[in-house]
Amino acid sequence: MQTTSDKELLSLIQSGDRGAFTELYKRYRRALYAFCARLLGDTQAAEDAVHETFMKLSTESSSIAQPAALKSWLFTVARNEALMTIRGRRDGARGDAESVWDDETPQSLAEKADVGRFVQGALSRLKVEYREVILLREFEGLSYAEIASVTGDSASSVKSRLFKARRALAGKLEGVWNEERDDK
Amino acid sequence: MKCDEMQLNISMYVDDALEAHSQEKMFAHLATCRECRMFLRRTLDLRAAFAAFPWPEVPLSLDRRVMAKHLKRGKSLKGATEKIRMLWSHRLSVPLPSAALVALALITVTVLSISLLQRPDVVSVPCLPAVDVYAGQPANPVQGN
Repeated sequence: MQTTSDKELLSLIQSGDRGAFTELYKRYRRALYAFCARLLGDTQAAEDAVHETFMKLSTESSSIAQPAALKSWLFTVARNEALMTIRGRRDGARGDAESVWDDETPQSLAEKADVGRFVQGALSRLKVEYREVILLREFEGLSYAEIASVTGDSASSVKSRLFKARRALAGKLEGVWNEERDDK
Repeated sequence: MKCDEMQLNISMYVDDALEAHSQEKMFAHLATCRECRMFLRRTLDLRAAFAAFPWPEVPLSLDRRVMAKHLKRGKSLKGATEKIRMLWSHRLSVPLPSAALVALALITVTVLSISLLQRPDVVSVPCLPAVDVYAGQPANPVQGN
């Protein structure tokens, strides 16, 4: 089945086609909501961020410079909305610049009993700049160049952050995986 | 140092972003390095764990909020264009015979005015002579008056 491209849908939205907006919303709501919910760890804040993203699409569609990169544009807006929420929460608090982790709280025994929950818990403890690249790469399948365009960094910085995040997560999970394999 | 570099390559390899010649080097290193083999294994394990993550359900309230706002905006835009369209159609909805009558009357008045002005017996009002306010006399008395 032939689907309308993002570029075509954007062009229709710019000409006032409400059906095109609805189609685009249905196409990206799940991915954007999941990204924001995982980045923020708060479903209500994620809902607000995605809502704002689509309102911006509705009002600023004519100013999108690269219609072919609409997916990156949507993730960029959603990310910025989410980061504003995170900055508001932190209220100026600064962590260790060298560390990959945002929260060093030890993981609970319940989390350790379930690898999935443990990974989820470890992911939520990563610093936001590491968490966002993992989310965009592993869950949304964005390329390094696309992630760089969303985060405003270089592709080599994205590469390096992904590597550091993976190494930190792998290190954290080492014990759990070993225990799990020993149990079997 | 070498393992750091190799593990960066492993991270790129799992993302399908490592060039062929670097892949050869990476596999050669993996054959001799247990630590890097472990890192590759853990990175793949992580990917499998991420794939098993449940996707959060999009709340209905988000659908409602986005669509309601968009429809409202669409309505206000539609309202503005509708007003313009109505005004335009209202102007065009004047019956054609009435418009023709008005046009005919305007043409008649114009033609009559022109022909009246061009008649020789219609005397134009003479200009009053300019008066020298200091002398109390016309500054340039009209000859023959």
